Formats: sequence, structure tokens, C-alpha cells
Amino acid sequence: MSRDEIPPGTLHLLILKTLAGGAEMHGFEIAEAIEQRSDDVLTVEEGSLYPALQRLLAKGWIEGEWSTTASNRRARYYRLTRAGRRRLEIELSQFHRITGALVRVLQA
Amino acid sequence: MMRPGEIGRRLRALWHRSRMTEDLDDEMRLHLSLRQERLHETFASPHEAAAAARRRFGDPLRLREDAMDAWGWRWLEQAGQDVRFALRTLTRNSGFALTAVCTLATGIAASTAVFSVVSGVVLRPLPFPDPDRLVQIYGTSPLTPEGGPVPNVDEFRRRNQSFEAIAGYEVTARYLHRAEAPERVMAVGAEREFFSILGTPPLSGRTFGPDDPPTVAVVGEAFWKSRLGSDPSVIGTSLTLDDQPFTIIGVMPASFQFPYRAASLLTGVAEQGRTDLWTPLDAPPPHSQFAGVIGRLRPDVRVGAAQSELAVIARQLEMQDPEANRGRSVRIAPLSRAVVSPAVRRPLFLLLGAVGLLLALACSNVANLLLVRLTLRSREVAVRRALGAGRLRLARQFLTESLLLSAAGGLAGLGLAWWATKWVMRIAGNQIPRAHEVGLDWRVFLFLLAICTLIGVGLSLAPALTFGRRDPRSILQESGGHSTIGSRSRRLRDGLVVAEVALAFILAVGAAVLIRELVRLRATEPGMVTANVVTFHLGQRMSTATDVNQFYEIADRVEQLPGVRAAGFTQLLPLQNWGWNTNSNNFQLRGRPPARTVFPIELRFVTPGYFRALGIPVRGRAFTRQDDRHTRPVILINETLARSAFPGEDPLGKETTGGSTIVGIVGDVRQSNLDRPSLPELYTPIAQNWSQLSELGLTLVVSTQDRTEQIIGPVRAVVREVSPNQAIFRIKTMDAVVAESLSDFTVYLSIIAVAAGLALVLASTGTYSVISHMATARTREFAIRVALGADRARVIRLIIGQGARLTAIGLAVGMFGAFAGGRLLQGLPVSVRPPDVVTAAPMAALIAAVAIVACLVPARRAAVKDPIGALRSE
Repeated sequence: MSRDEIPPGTLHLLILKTLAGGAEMHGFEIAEAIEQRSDDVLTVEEGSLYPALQRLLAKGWIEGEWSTTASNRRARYYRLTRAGRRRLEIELSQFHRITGALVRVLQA
Repeated sequence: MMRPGEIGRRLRALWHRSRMTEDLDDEMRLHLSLRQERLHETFASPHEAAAAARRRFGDPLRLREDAMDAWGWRWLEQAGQDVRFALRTLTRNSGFALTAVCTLATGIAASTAVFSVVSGVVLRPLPFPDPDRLVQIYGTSPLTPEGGPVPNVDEFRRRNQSFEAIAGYEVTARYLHRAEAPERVMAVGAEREFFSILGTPPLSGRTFGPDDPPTVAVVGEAFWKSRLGSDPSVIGTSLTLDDQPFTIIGVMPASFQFPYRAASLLTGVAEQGRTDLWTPLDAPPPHSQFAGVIGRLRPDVRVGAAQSELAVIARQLEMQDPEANRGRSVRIAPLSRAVVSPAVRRPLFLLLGAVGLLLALACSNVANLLLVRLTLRSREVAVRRALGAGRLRLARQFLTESLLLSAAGGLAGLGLAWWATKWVMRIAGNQIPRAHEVGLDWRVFLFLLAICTLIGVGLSLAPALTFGRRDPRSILQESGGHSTIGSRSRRLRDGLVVAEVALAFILAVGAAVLIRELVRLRATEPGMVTANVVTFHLGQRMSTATDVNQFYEIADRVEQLPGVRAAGFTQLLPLQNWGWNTNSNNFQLRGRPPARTVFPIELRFVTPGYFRALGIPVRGRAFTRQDDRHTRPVILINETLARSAFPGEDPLGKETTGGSTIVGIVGDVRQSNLDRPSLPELYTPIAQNWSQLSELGLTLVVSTQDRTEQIIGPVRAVVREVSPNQAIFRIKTMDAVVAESLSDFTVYLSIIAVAAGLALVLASTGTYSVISHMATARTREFAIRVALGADRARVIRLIIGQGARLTAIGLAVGMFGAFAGGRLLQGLPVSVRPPDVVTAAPMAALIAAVAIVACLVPARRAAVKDPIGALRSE
């Protein structure tokens, strides 16, 4: 089964987008959600999720809160902040601009 | 750009770092175990599932570091590591660390102490509101071009547009009558705008203003504490000065010291720098002439503009009354410049330069030590580089080490500086205005911080320069721990020794030049006999009605005391007071045209015994008891005046237009200081010139056979008996007066001498360390030489030759510096001749001798060593 690594620099975007639905998720759930939504095409290099989450926490775009999972285990649940939502919009439009341009170049 | 919220989050992360790391670990563990469960179905054993989960996850340790890096505190952790590592290496080499810290502390303490004086005296603004608008106004005339009393102050006040206010003041001595004995106090009589111009609020009560009667007084805090017992209810009470009651209305804080060193502005009084009280002047003096005048400029008026305006007014006044105001004008100086004149500033900056040299020397010494240690550590550094430490990382490690050293040196230096500042102020406090404002203020701390940082960075340059480039492999391949002195490092270290010798030489020559001047001054013939002479100051409120005979009687009765050879009064004691003068226009001879050039003539009022008491020779006759108000006025002139007024003729018996006869010629006495030749002087008996005397008092000079101190009690008793109203103060032997007259000079000399002494120690230890390290590093080579039959003496000569070469170059460089810098010493308040062979040669010999001794120790050690043993030990 060959799976593609996430293009560099887009992990932020994927995490923000995953949380944009309003759900609170812990790290494992975020990783799974990304994989599932990409029909298992994209694979998160799972460990690198955590440095990325810390960077987003430092920026104040997401918040984490400790709680327990369904199987009663301690986990940190992440939630998008208002600043994070604004950031997501900015990054999304940026992303669309760039990929649009890329597609145009590649199809020419 | 970081937002405040983000900074807060990052700071919190720093604070809770360990808990956050644990949280992260928990999170990652959870992830791993969830993944393992998910993979459970795919793999046969839980073991394999766990391994697969870990593979998918990556290296948790590296990820944890990456994640914590997100908070941006990596540099701090590394700095912490660097500091811990530096501390470890430094404590392991505690001998080196201690030497380095002590050396730095010495240099830092010396410069910080002198800087704190400069800061308090020169840099700190005067302690008044808007001090930039305060100015001092001086009157100028052909006789006093530099500035003297200011006439016509009322006119200047009325006509000018530049000033908010102008106030004249006079310093005077008054006598406080108390139960035990009368006491002299220093009082300032000031116009009523005085306090509002300066603007300092009183400690308690109030200051005087336009509506106050002349009988109010504001007292100084020190006076309030010492004489009024710090009594808070003193406001409103009365104080009797010269039989006149004054109402105390306020107390000024001790920090208010205006006029600065009031008493030194006063002819006849030198010692007490503190003003005891301020009173309103009751009437303007004739022609509204004041000894001192201050003014507050209107906002936005510049000193230059005010100066031109007052000059114009002065010209108008001269036109109106050419007779009184010929050639008179005024000069304005910012008050800060007036208080701290160039004569105060220049020596201070000179001292700062001297201790700066000392600091440079201390630094090069420590740099040298660092380089020695570095060659010893070369293997360690090479290993670290081989293991992957980058050049930058190594440089940072060196920087951390030298910063730690300089910080420790700075901290120790601060303690020493506190003590050294007190020492400097104790010996120099009387010579410097604003001395009470000197302390360790923020400027001093800033200075300390700046020099410590500079030293730390500078010191780390030395290893960074010599290291870094060399291939670690070549170092590791070399045998022995310390046979590697790179030529670059050696050149640097040789250069440092040369610099140290040169700096020490410059300081030593500076000290030698000053010592030569001190010797010269001490050998100067003062024109009087100072041994076994004791002096007493007597003062009281005086007027033309004061009985003159009491002074004659006191002198006569003191002369009859057993052990007393002679006693007499003078109004100005030599080497203590001077500057009471008239000009040569008032000294014209009958039947002669006035002299073409006008020059000042110092006036002396004495009783007959004065000349005998100080052993001053008199040609012709001295005064006698008979020279009083009822007989023909007589005068004596000194040799200088005789030479300038009577070239080639005998002045004896000549008469002045005033009707006085010159009855004798007095030997020249150094009156102002030992450095300055005598001025023209004119003596009159006090009985014939009573009106010239003032409340400043007279000095009784008593010459004794021996045991000078024992005469003090009996003399006091005589004074008390004859005139109980006299305050007796400042009892001093004449030798002490001479020594004090040199104190200006000895202060600077002792500070520079201490700096030079320390410099010599530092330079010699620097030379020692370099030569001894060189000798140790070449032990093997020397051993081979000796084994092959070389003479041991040859080896010794070789090592000493190396040291001698460096010392010689250093001395040559220092010679240039000393001769170029010698001119700076002219800034001192005495005449200082530039350095010459007589001062430089002994210092060069001394430094050379110290350097040779410093080389001798390692040379002998290297030569005596058993060659076989030395070769084996390597």
C-alpha cells in the first residue's frame, strides 16, 4: 500500500481544517481524521503531529484541554480558537491561490 | 512579530516546562497505545504491533525536542548548559579562575571608583530644578579678567530681558554665642530671590522671600543636627548671632549646598566647606556689588544671548559713569561649569585615564592567562570539535566563560569599588565640590555593566582568534598535552606582554613625575620657619569700635608663657589664605608718577611678634607696639615688591602718597602655595589699619622651643582671660598647614601611585606567566639540549633573553606613550614638568628588574630539571 506524505508546510492547514468542524479531538483522532478524509492517500507522519500541535498552541490558534476518552483514558482535546479560525481562512485562501496557480502552470 | 498574548504563553511555557514535557509524553504514549490497538488485527503478536506502531510514530525523543522547540526556549537551555559547563571548568581550575577574577576585580574596582566620583561631580546634573537655566555671573575688570565681584547688580537686574531673576550673595563668618564659648559659623547673606532661583524645597519650614525681614534665618541640615539637636520644633525659635537675634524659619536638606564650598570663596577662611545658615541681606551693599551672583534664565534664552545682553548693559553703564565702570563687564557661565570648573574636571578625567590604563592592563593579563589555559586545553577543544561541536558553539562556550569571569570580577570589583570610593572621597573630599553627592548611582552601575560586557566579549576574542582555524586532527596527533603553542597564539601573547609592560611603564612614569614634583615642592624654601610653630584662629564680630589692644595683649602675654619664643597675629596665614589685595595704583610714592602697569599687591595686617614667630627676616626695622593710631603710619614691603617698585634703589625711608613710611623690607614668603612664587606684599600693623579687618578673624602664630602641643592649653587660657568673646578654632601646627597646602597634589599623587603600583604587580605577573609557560612548553627541547651537552647557563640565558626582549620592546613603546601623555599632567592644579630621563630611567630599570626576576624563576626551573626525567615524563 503506497501512501503519500503530506506536502511540507501543509500540516498546519490540515490540523486547523480538521478542527474547523467544531469538534474537540485528541492527537490520535486528528491523525485518523486526516487519513480517512483523504481516503488514506495522505498519511500523517504521526509523531510530527505533536511538534506541529505545540507550534499551533504557542501561536494561540488552538487550545488544548485535558479530559478522558470514551475508554476512560487521559487525553488532551484540541479546539480551534477564534484566532485559529481567522488564520485558517487566511491560509486557505493562500493555499487556493497557490494551488490554482500551480494547476494552471501544470495544465498549460 | 509576536503579540503580547503569545509572549505570555511562551513565558508560561518556560515556567511550566517540565509539566508540559510530561503532558507531551503522556499524549504521545496514548497515541502509541491507540495505534497499537488499531494494528492489533494486522499483526500476530502484540509485540509486533507495538514495534509497527513505533515505526509509524517516529523517534519520540527527537519529536519531544522538536515539540518543545516550538516554544522558543532552546537558546536559553543551551545557555544554561554553557554556563554549567563553564562553571565546571572554572571550578576545576580554581587557581586560574581566582587569579583572573582578582585581577579583573582590581582593574574594575579602580575604574568604577574613579568613575563614581566623575559621575557624582561632573556628570550628574546639579540638584536643582531645571539646572540648565541656572548661571553664575562674574564681574570682569582689567585686574580680574577671569572674574571677580559683580558691581551694579541692581542695574543689570532692572535692564535685562534674559533673566527670570538675579540674586547676589555674600559669604561671611558669624559668631554664635553659646554657653560654653563663642563659635564661628559660615553664613551666606543672600538677596531674597536666592531660594526661588535655586528652587530647592526646604526640609522643613520655609525659605525666605521678598516680604521677609532681614532677621530671619534658614539653617542647614548639618547645623540643625549638630547645633540644634535635630529639634523639629526649632522653626520659629530664635538664634543669636553676633548679639543679634534671628528667627529660624526653615531647614535646608544636607544635599543643598549652595554656594558650593562656600568658605573657600572667602578670603581668610579655607576649612569649612559647609554653609551653616542663610539670611536675607538687609540692604544692598554700596554700588550693589556682590561677591557672587546667580541667575535663572527665562526658558529658551541661551547663555550666549544672555551674555551679549549683559555685555551691552555693561557698556551702557560704562558710558554713564566712565570713572567707576571703566573696563568693567560681566561674564556668564552655566552654573554647572561654575561649580565644577575645568580645574576640578581636568584632574578627575586624568585620574579616569590612569585607572583606565590599569583596567586595560588587568584585561590583557587575564587574556594572557586565558591563552595559556587554552593551549593546555587544546586537546579538549580538539576532541569536542572532532565530536561535532561547531565553531560557533565553541566560540559561544568561550564567550560564556569569559563573561562569567568578567561578571565575577565585576561583582567583586563593585564591592572593592564601594570601599575605594570611600577612600578616594576621604582623601579628596575637601578638594572636590559636590563631594557629598558622590556615591554608587545608576550611572556607575551602567558603567560597570558596560565595562563587564566589553571585557567579557573582548576576552573571548583571544581564544576565538587563535583557535577555530586549526585542524583538530593535527592537534590530536601531537604528543604531550601542552607542546602546542600556535605561532598565532604566541604572537598574540607576546604582544600582550609588550602592551602590559608599556602600560605599566606609562603609569610608573606618571607617578614618578608627580613624586619628583612633590619632592621639589617639599624642598621649596617657604621663606619662614615652620618647625615648632602652632597656629590658632581667633574670631569675633568686629567693628571699628573693637578694641585692638586685646590682640597686642594676647600676643604679649603668650610670649611670656614658658617655652614660647615668639607670638604674633596675622590676618592671613601663609599657605592657608591669600587673595586680600589692593592694586599698585593705591601704592604710589610721593613725588613720583604712577607706575605704568597696574599689578595687585597683597595686604597683610600683623602684630609686631609675627615676623619673629615665623622666622621671617626683616631688613630695616619691624613693627613695634608703638606703631599705633597715634603715631606716624609705617609699612613694610616684601622683597618682591621692593624689586618691582624700586629697581636699583633702596626703598627704606620712602614715603607713599598716603603718608606711610617704608621702615623695613620683609623676606619673601610663599603665601598662596609652595608652587607659586611670592606676590608683591605690603604689611601694616593692625593697630594702624583696624578698619581693614573683618569678622573673619586673625590667626595667632606661636613659636615654641619644643613640645608644641603642650602650649595649646595655656594659650587658650590666655585668650579666654583677655577676651572671652573670641571664638578659638582650627588649632594647627604650621607643619600641618604646609602639608595641607600640598593636599591637592598629594591626593592625585597617591591615587596615581596606587594605580602605578598595581600596574607594576600586574605587568610582572603577566610577564612571569608568559615566560614560565614558554619555559614549561619547551621543557622537552631544553632537556634534549642539556642531554646533548648544552650548558645550563645557556638555557637560562635563552629564557631570560626572551623575557628581556619583550620587556625592552614594551619599554620602548611605553616611552612613546609616557612622553606623549606627559603633557596631560599639566591639567593638575600644580605645575608639573613633563617626564624626562631622570624620571623615566629609574622606572624603566625597576620594570626591567622586576621582569628579569619574573623570568628567573621559570628559567631556573627549566634548567635545573633532570633531562632524563623531563624526557620520560613527556
